[in-house]
Amino acid sequence: MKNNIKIYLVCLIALSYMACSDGSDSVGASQIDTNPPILNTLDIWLRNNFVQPYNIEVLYKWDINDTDVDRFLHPPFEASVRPVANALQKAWIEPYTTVGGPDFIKKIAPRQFTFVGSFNFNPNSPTITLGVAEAGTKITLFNIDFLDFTDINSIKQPLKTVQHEYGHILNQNIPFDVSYGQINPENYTAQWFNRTDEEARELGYITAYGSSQEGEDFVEMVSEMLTNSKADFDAIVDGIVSDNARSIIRQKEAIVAEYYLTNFGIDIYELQDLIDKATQDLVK
Amino acid sequence: MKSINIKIWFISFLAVCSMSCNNDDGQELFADSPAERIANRNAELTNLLISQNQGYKAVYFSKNDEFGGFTYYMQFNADGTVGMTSDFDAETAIEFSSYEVRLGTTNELVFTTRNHIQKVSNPSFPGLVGTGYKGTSVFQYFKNENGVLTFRDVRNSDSGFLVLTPTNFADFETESVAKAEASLAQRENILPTPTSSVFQLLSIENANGLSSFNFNYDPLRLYASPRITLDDGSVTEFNFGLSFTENGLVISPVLEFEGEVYEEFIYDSSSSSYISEVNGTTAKILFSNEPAFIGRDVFDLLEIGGDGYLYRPGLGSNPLTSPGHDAIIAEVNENLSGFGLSFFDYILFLDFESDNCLSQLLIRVQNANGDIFNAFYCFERAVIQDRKLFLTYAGPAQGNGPLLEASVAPIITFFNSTEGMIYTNEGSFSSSLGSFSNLAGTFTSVQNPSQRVYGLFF
Repeated sequence: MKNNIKIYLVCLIALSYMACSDGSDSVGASQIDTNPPILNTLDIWLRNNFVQPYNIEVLYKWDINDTDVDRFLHPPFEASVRPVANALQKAWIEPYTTVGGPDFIKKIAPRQFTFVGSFNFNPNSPTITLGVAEAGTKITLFNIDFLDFTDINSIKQPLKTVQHEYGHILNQNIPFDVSYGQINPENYTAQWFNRTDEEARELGYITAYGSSQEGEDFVEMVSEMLTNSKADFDAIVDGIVSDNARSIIRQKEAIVAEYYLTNFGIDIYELQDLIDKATQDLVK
Repeated sequence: MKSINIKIWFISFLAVCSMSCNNDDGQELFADSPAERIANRNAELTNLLISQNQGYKAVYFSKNDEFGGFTYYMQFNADGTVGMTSDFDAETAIEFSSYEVRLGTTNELVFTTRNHIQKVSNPSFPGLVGTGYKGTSVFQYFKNENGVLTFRDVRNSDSGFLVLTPTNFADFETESVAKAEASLAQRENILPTPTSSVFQLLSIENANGLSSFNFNYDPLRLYASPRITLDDGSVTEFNFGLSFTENGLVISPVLEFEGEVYEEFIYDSSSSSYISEVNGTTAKILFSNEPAFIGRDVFDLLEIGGDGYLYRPGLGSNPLTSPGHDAIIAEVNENLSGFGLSFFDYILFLDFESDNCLSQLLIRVQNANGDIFNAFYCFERAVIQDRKLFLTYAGPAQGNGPLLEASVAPIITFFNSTEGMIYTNEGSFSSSLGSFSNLAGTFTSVQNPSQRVYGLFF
């Protein structure tokens, strides 16, 4: 009986070896088109300045799946792309790299930027969307065809959007102190667009959008601090009539500064100064 | 017994194993793999696009149930760039951008960076903010008929079409721009001028006679809704978008009427009309002295009572006030300038019983300080005949009337139309500056149908 089992086993192994051999070739060459895409000079510049050093892809060629398919949007002019990418490099990546170290942006950054030429109008609302951040991995910037690179306020708009969305990404890595949302939660509203920035400031929010909810409040503080010089930011705060509102905003500013210092070892005022100088240089 | 069963089962198992992997696969359904077939189809479209070294003429209706279309001339290059011009606006210079052929839900032509084609998807376009012409940058390849390539708008697949026809130009750079400018110029021919009638009709003549419809053209949307409403309330309406060509226009969807299909119209400058001739029948878009059908709105005036009909430019503009009426006001202002005055407004009062100056036109003028001066002009009793309003001028009333009569004569003549006036009820008042609940209406001179005014009753 034992011999029988051995014979059966040998037969089984022999059959298993032969079972799936039909004599055909093994796996051949890939059938998928792996030819490199056509790259123009802009594509090469983006690869050299974003993909290679930071693993950040800048998408500007239209793909309907990159944006909301129900919105009416269009791609940018090719000529609009490099100035915006350059602004990101000079006024966002380089200052953060200087204060946070060469790996800061490499480790914490959106992996994709999508540039859209047109404005993004919100349906049934008197508002437009300037940018969108998705899951900490992607930032979409709208209306880049309408930026004026001789006007610093025009350039500050996409930079503020990036600082705002990057603030969200930092928060997704390390949440901010919950006490921030308890400072003045009573006036958060979904109808924030019915307020002007000036009205919001008198309530203790740095912008009208900041009065929508605490997460937006925090990153609006970040983006306002990082798209204004310290003097300009102080002038905004000092221009608030209400003593209480002014005090609230200073309290929030302190929490933001503490958040950057404690969690990332970054002096936000040093960062603010570097960004301001870089932004000024963009319009020279 | 037990041992024998095991042996039988095991031998059976081995037999099954030995047969289980026979190379008996069926024949391949396709000669190529899916990846190769996708690549081949993309290559086929790419090759078609670049095969026309003088490019394509493209007619793009982004959504033919809301908007008309535009004409483009495109020259595709093997390096992934495309040069194009269009008749969208006066900026007709050829611009270069990128395109790709990709596989989406099917093979797609994607205009990947901005060029003329994206003007229809510009959500900042004045008058269409938020949507533009609801266009796209992504087109699904649909068919190739004798070199004419048809694509569908990826979002509006039932109403958005891009059709590419080889240009066969000798020189793309010069001929494309010239043709784009020619079709842009054609777009002006369909608009009313200071001398053309405000009544624009679609008239179709066939063996059954002449059928006319008020054209109802929206120049912003390049969209027409030819319609006729009869007294019994029955409505016949067509809807289509217009796209202009260098010698006329095409419509989409096509017009089907009594067994014939009309799509291409040729402009006839001698009659300022667009004509489509099909199998001995004729469809014509023309300016007519009268509308397709005069409704009963004029009888509403019998119920107006003492309310005055006011036209005041300061209340804002409305396209129903015609360029011909604007010309009247311009002429009056020219006449008044010698007195240091300008036109302010006029108010028409109607009375259907008395000849004692109860039908009256009050014309108000102002000086540089804003002081208002009144001038009254009398008409005999108003009469309604053949659904038209007839006013007969009786002369100026006392006061400033006689002094200013010559200066304001164009307005008096407008209302003194010997062939009567056509009145339409336009619901509540709306203008470029706002809306009021007041009843609004238009008066059009039949004697000179280029002159129409839109105003309100108060």
